Amino acid sequence: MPKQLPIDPAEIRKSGWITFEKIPVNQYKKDVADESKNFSKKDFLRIYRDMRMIREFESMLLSIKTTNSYNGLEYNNPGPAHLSMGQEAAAVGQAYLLTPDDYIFGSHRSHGEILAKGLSAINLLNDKELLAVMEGFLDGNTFRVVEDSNKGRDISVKDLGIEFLIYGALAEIFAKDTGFHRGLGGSMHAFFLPFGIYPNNAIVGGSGTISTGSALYKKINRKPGIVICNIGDGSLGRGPVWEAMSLAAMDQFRTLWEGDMKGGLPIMYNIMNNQYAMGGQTRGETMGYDFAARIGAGVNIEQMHAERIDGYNPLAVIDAMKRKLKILKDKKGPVFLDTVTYRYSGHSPSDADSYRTPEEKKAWEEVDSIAAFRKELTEAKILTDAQFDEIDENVVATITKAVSLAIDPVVSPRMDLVQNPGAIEKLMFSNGRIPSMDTAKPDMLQKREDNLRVQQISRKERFAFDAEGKAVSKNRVFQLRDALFEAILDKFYEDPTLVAYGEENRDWGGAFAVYRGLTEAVPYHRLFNTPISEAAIVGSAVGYAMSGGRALVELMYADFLGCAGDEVFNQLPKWQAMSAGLVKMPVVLRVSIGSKYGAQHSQDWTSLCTHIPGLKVVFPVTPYDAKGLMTTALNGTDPVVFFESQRIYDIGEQFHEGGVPTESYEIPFGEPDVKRPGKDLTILTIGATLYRALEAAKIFNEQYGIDVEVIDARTLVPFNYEKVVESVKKTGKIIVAGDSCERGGYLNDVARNIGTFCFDYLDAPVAVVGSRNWITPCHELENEFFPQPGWFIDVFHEQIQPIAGYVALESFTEVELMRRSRLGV
Amino acid sequence: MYDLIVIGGGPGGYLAAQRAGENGLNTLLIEKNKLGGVCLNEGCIPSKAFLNSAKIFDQAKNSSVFGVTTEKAAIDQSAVVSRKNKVVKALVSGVGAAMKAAKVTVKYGTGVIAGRDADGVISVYADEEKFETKRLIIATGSEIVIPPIPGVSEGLKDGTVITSREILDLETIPETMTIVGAGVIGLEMASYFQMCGCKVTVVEMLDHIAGNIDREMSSLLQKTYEKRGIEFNLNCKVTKAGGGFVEIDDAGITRKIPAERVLMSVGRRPVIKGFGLESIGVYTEHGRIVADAQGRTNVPGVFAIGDANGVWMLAHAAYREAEVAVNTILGKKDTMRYDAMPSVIYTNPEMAFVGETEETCREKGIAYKKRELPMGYSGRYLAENDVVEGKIKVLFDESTNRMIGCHMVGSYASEIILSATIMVETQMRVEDMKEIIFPHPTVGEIIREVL
Ligand SMILES: Cc1cc2nc3c(=O)[nH]c(=O)nc-3n(C[C@H](O)[C@H](O)[C@H](O)COP(=O)(O)OP(=O)(O)OC[C@H]3O[C@@H](n4cnc5c(N)ncnc54)[C@H](O)[C@@H]3O)c2cc1C
Ligand SMILES: Cc1ncc(C[n+]2csc(CCOP(=O)(O)OP(=O)(O)O)c2C)c(N)n1
Ligand SMILES: [Mg+2]
Repeated sequence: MPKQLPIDPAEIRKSGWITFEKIPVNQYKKDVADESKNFSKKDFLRIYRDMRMIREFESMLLSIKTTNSYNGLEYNNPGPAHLSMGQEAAAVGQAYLLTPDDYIFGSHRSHGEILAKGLSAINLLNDKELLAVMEGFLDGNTFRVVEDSNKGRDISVKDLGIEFLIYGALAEIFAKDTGFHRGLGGSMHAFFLPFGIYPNNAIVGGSGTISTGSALYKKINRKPGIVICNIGDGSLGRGPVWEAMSLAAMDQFRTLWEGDMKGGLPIMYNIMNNQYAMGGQTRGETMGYDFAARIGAGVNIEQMHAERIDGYNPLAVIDAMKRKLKILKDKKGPVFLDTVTYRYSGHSPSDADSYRTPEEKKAWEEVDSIAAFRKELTEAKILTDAQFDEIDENVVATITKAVSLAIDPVVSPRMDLVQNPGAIEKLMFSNGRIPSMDTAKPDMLQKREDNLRVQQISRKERFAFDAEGKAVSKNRVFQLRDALFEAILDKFYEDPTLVAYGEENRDWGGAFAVYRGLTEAVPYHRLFNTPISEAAIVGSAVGYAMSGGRALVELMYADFLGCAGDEVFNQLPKWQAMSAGLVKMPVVLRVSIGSKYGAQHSQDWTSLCTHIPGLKVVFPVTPYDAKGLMTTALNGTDPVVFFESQRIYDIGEQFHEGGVPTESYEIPFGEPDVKRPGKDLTILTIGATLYRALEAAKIFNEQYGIDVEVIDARTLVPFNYEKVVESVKKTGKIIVAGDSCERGGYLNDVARNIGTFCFDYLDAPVAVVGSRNWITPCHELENEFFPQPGWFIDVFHEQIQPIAGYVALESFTEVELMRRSRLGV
Repeated sequence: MYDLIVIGGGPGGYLAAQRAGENGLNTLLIEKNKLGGVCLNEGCIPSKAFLNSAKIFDQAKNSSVFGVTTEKAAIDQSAVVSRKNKVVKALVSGVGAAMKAAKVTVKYGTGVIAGRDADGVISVYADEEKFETKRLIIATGSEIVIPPIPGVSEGLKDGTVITSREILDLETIPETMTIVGAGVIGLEMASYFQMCGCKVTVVEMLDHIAGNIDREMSSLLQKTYEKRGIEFNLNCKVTKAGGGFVEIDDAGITRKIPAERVLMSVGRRPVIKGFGLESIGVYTEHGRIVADAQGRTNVPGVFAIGDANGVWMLAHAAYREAEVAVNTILGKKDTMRYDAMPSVIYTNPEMAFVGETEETCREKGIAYKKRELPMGYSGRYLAENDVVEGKIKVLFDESTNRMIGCHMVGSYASEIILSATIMVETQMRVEDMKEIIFPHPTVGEIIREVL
């Protein structure tokens, strides 16, 4: 697409071969004696301790899950526990060289990775830093428990740190208010940002896209450190993981991004290859890659520097990490590691191991990483059994103490939703207003006033009608797409972290010409085209925002929301609350509702989004509202699904007196707007249906003497009903209308609420006009599908008040609604 | 283009047309047979004409207890039929006159719907001629159900099996008659032919007669009939009929009952086929056109009233539905309610009822109070009747003290039920009813007595 990369047929059609480099498989061949010059005894002991700590932690959880007790302590933990006994060397080896600036993201089976990374960070931080982290974390609530338990005892800050880590993680797993995110994440979502431990994810492969976004953040904002995505071998079957790797491996990082931005993404996809995905055996049964590492060869020329390493030997893992970190720091990422490991425990405590033999398990236990490591070191006479035994004792004591604290309901209470009913509610949105997420100077290519589109727009009429009330022609009027452009351009000059990406965002100017002119103003690293990877587009925005930036991503057609289903429904909306407010999610997701493009390109999916707790949903349909709401969205700290309609990108401002202001302004979310005052009937619209309702209002008025008040919802979540209730008190009648398919839609929510709020004022039940529960037919048949002006009269006649002499065309009779419902159409 | 087309000229259709015409709608009524429909031509009216003759005959035969002697009282069936025909003719032509007065155009022919265009214009053919309208009332009524019982189709041809249609033209009283189906029509005919001296046997598949009426009253009615000589075979299935007998399966035992004539009266079904309902997509379910409380079908502007919508297959239900539909068309809010729908069985004695039965109360979980009295509590009833076989039963809602049901067996029940209907419909409380003055002596006073 970029003109600077011509596509030459002679080159493309040339004959030849694709060759691959050999992919190393377990090439590490050293023993402890060889390594003893690289590691001190203390280092070896620390590696051992960390592995033992994880083993004990997981064994404790298994014991609690299966026997409700550990070391004499009784507790019932109903929540999940996907344990990782057997995988300790892989986790500890990985974390060994990482710093708190390096981020890890995980899976449902990441307790080990969290502890390893935490222990490594504690080891690196000096006492002052460590204390600052612990004291500052969640008002010191977690730290206080650990501190109090050590009153009068002489304990080092590092040991305090270890107790803090184990306790905080365990309290989180036990869903306690003192946990790392107040028990709102739990076992599969635990993390601790100050140590560079980013969220685990209960969605298999969910971290694929998110970690990629985090790496984008680091690169684009010149932040130190690298990002590791820890996912299982099973996750390689998931599309979003492939999408994430595609995004991470884009050629443009090297071909088109400029200056210090040139170069690969600092990300490593580390496959914790424990051979199983629940009961499915990836190699030999459910996948075809033979070696997971082979996948790297399919992604880019560097084959993602892929390698299989022995995750049963911590030193082999450290060796690999050393080499791979260098590659990442040299801007040659992404990197792919196939870390061989094995879990002794079942997938979860309910797993009956019906898919593997005891012999297989035993064979792995015989080469157990912890035992083997200890044996090698004692046999090489580097360390003694006594030294190891002391560690073992300490580990058991540490875990036992953490359990006793975490299960104590006084010391570690659960979040109290009775005393404090708003505790979760207030975490659903951060409701912040942070115009700029960083203090750096925004990278831009030109001055605002030099931009051609800015200049063109300055010559446009900012109101749809001239002084005589005549309509201004389409090419002279300031259009809705111009309004969006203005709000977005302003933000590019204000917030250095703002990035906009999606398909066809650069050069093409966005599929609907909203971004025309941006290519000239914004450098590549802030505005770029992505692979056709909707899941990765949204998921990476989640990671980008979670790491501290602001992302404006676009899915082109609303219909493609399904391709990013997990990212839109599970990731984008949930992390603010699951993190107890520790992460912010300033992401604006633009989706456009198609027109004239049939069944898979014309769907209003606002209702899918309003259904999801944690998403703000807006749908402006006038230039004034579009600019104001986009500005609000871009200043905020919450995820916003920003709906647009392709029917009206070229529409001018018909309502706001004085037209669309040139300066920046905000429209608060949640406030509907009366677009036409009236006294006999209220019509509340969502989206572009506004214009059809206005046509209907004209017919009502001219032909039936009914004076209609038309209210434009503008925002769906949040939504303030006051104006609507006020209107219904006056009119006693209301129709709610929009283009989404009627069944299960947000329109019905609104209707139900108005019915409740206004029951005594209503002359008839609230009428709902949505699209038919069909496929969207071709444009030529759309009038039978989308609400038309006449439908408002029809529904009024059939459901609200019969109009003498009127016969409806579209059926809204009770029998018809029942019939459709019975048939599911 | 007509403002309204009505298909079917029975009670539903002709009244709808009349009301529409009276309100200035340019209305076309299409009838393929005779105005008045089933009700006037082969239903309510002719059957009542029959029954009145039989009641007079019955009284004449038993007049001596009242101090009246008659000699050789006899029923002349052909005279009964010709009188009935006269009554029907008069009423049918009365309907014609009413149509004229309301400026309704009546077109004789089979109405067939042929589609609805983008502007909502519906085409309807009456035979070859095409008419257009945006509003259509379907009032095509119902037809007799003939079950596929061996022998029946042959019997229908040779006249040994008949339906409610042919029976009203029977010129002679048969010696024996078996009536299949103890619904309202079957019971009325049983009563008629019994009074006329025929040996009547009733066969019914259920364990009770008269359908969903109050169970206590239906067994009272049955007992009275049995005393009069009608034989009931409940829980029996007819396996063969026609050619002079009926074969029934009575708890596994096959019995043969002699029957010079067999009346098939197992029910009626809405007429929904063969006149183009599908062409405009009118929704039907379980063999009926589905209509809401305004009579509206799923198609805008299209209404279904009377037997065709299968809700309450009674002429007075059709009348009210016709009015509700026309009011809706005229933009007046109106709603069809069925809670106070009266029904009458014009047997001798009569039976009439309205509203809830004890069974439906229990089903719906309505807490009710019950009061009952023998009809003999009415002075006039005693004065005029020799045997006191009647009874009234009234149900009140326990929480509101409103009348919710009334059930009667006895003479004049058909006329008295109107008072009870008003009380149920207007949700009168017992206190209010007590303020009403009943003329004395009337049988209707029984309502005051029972309160
Ligand atoms: C023996 C008997 C006794 C009854 N006694 C009583 C009683 O005592 N009290 C009571 O309330 N009810 C009684 N009923 C029931 C009552 O007759 C019906 O409920 C009533 O007639 C229904 O009226 P309607 O207008 O819906 O239909 P109908 O009376 O059935 O009229 C429908 C009309 O539509 C016409 N038609 C049908 N299709 C077309 C077409 N395509 N084009 C043109 N014309 C068409 C038919 O020819 C018919 O004239 C009795 C019925 C029977 C059979
Ligand atoms: C998208 C999704 N699909 C299915 C699951 C159910 N599930 C949980 S863990 C798991 C197996 C994952 O295997 P792998 O990625 O190899 O991780 P492991 O459990 O082996 O650590 C499955 C299928 C899920 N959580 N998310
Ligand atoms: Mg696995």
